[in-house]
Amino acid sequence: MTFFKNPAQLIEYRKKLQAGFDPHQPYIAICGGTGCMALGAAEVRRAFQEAISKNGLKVKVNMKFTGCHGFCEKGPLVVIHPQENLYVSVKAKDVPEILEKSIAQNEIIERLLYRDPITKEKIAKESEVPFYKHQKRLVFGMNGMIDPTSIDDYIRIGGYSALPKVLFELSPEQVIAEVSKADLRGRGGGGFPAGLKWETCRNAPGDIKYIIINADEGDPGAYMDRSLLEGNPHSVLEGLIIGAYAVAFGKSPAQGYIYVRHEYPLAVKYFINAVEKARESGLLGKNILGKDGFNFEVQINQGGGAFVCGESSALMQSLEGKPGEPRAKYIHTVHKGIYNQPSNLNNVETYANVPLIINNGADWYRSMGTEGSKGTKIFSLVGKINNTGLVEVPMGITLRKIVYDIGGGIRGKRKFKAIQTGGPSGGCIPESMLDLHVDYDELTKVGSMMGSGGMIVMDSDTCMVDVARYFLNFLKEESCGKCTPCREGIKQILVILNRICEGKAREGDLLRLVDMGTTVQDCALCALGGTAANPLLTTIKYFEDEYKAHIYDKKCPAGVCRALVTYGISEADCTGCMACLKQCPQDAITGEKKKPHKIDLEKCIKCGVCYETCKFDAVQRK
Amino acid sequence: MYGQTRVFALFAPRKEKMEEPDKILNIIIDDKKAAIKSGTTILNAARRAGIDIPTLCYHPALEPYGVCRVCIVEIKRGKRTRVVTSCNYPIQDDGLEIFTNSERIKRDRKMVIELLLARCWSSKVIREFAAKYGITDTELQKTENEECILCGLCVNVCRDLIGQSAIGFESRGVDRKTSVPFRKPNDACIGCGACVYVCPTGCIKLEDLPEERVIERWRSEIPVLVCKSCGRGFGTVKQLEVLKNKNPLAKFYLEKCPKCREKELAEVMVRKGGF
Repeated sequence: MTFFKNPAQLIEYRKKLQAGFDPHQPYIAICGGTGCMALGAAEVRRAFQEAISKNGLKVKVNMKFTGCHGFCEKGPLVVIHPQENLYVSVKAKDVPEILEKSIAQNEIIERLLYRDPITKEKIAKESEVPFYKHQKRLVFGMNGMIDPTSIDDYIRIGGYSALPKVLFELSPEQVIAEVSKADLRGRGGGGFPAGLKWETCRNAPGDIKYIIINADEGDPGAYMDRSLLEGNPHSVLEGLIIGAYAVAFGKSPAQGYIYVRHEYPLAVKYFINAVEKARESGLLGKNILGKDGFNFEVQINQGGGAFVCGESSALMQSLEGKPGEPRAKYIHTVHKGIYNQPSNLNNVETYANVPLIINNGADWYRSMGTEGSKGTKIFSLVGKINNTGLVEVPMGITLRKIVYDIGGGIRGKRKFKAIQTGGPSGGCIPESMLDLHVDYDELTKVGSMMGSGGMIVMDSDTCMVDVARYFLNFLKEESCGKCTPCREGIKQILVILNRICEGKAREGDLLRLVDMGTTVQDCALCALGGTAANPLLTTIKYFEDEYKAHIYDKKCPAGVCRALVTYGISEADCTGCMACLKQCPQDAITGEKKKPHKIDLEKCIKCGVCYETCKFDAVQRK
Repeated sequence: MYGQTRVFALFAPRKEKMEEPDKILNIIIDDKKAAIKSGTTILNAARRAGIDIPTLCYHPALEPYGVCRVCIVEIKRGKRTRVVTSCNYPIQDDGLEIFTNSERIKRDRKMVIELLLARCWSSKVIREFAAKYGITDTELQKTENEECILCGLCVNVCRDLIGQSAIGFESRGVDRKTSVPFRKPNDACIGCGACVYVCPTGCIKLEDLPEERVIERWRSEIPVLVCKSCGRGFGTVKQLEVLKNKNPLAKFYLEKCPKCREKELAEVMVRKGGF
């Protein structure tokens, strides 16, 4: 490890690394992201290690165990460089073949390629797979090329080139001006302009400035921050150091923090590793890169598992060692945050964008996106969609493009119904709005939000009342209970939603829900409560018919709410195959072979197993 | 409860922290014009202007906590209006318009009070409070045997004014409760009764037995301090310990109950021949 005393040494070191890297030499990048690991990437890696170490391959080959590539649906993913051929759903037993054919003989293994479900064509090149083709992977793209534990890898591909530029060519004010000009908005949800936040924090009087990374990503189904920290921790760290320089240099000392979920052990490990490597290299500590008077250190703090600690004031309370409860932010945290000192909190992804802006300029960054939102955004695309995974797209892309071109459409024969954006407190957007251009302002306009970037796709088998109930239940569990509207309001909303789903709705329940939802939105203390009613209010707004069907007709059109559903077997369609009869856990189905079966409604618990089992669509759900 | 006079000297209204105290701002509250110092809270500005805003979790001696949400008002800056809590919103903008009783506020406040009523249906205080705003019953699910609105005044007074932090919150969300560590009797409670005094619903009960003072809610049983002259109890022994540190008073002064102190003082006066 080299200790860089000045920027020239860093540049020299990068040149040396680049010279030592042969771009023609094959290397294998195995995705080690959360999704791929769950699908067995660790075994694939072990198989590669063993095979490479024992057999005398003619061609020298390197292997990298990288962070998340994004295409989690098809994991474990293996990319063969320099051809950039993508193999999907790779198993350990495929490893010898890959080494023999792809590496030694430069052949493509057809059966491991991605097959387009519509054109049925096999696609070899990673960048031509539709999932990747429509993306713009600026922040996330480096994940597939580097070993997240190696600072050398990051330096080689151009990492830590923005930092010296900032330290020796720009004043803190110029850095802030550049970030402001780029119109970088907070990626954690609020969308507050990062440049303005930095400037306010810089000008706020205080003895010390705290610069914090918010990595307390708690939305169900969202994992972009996790994947950035696990895949490219140095890019986040570089952004943080630049932020510290911009906010504090020349004004007051600075201290860095990262508040990361305890449930992300790998992210914690890799970030600690990144901080240690950076310290050994002189990129953290005293007089960073030889810049006189610029001292900066980072401390790692792990959250205890409370969703509300992702909210800035609660996060800072938690960092101080107090219970993580939000406080009123009429005086902002940039003025009075941790220990009443000016504190600048940004999301992981926001910091990761900063080096890109410095390296390529604000004008380049502004060239992407819409009027009010620039650059790209990472979304986690999950739910009833063909290609689940992490996608990075330019702001302003339509929802339709995300769902159909990148996401590959809805699974099976079902139809698209709604997309829920912004995590548990986001809203559900119906099909009629699929051509909406995704950016901060457009999403807010339709009653949803950008949030940290969760996108949950729902199909025609989803009951929207049940969806609202699910998210509110999540928020009820995660509410800190400090203020009345959030604690009592969400509870009472759930009482009503539960009785609607049980077919016991009362007259005026719909109006009561809207009233209560609006009050919670207006009066809650923090953003968790303030947005908690979004799933409720947007589903009522766009799917009112479904609520009415539940309340007045006592029917669940999607067939989800058990109390409102009955199962029956159509005599005309039943072939008497006895499949459902065998599966029924209650023995509620009777009948003989090749004769229509019957369901005993007294015994039926409405589990739906028969419905799922029947191959002839004879079991009907009403 | 007796012998609380000294402790409650602590309950003098807190002074508001002013960032730029000299700055005078002109604001409009419900069509009334007012000039106030920068940093004044909306609640104080309104009360000074003779406008009543209901509160539950506010106490003038304590830092506003802003959780009951009953004191909400609507503010307008430029074209934007938003709902804020008046107890902890420091006015910093000239020309701020405040509406304490707009249609939106009336609706929201009514709902917040209804939510509290549903929670504390057993509390007479809350039922009477709600009735003042025209809410006598609710369709919402009522909780039985709950009188605490979780305003946090007891927790805050114990920590910020008494300096003991004997009580706190346990759990979160709907399970949130005021409690003591591990729900066991704890040493930090001095039995001063400040929590009983500030509680807006009267749900913390204090009982003075001949030997000890009992606060059932905190599982506290604290020996009573006995007056050296008349033998009657006044305050608790621990309370005296804490008070001694807070306020260096003469020993004899703390050993006797207020009545005996008065009597003694009067005797001294008489001996010296009056004022």
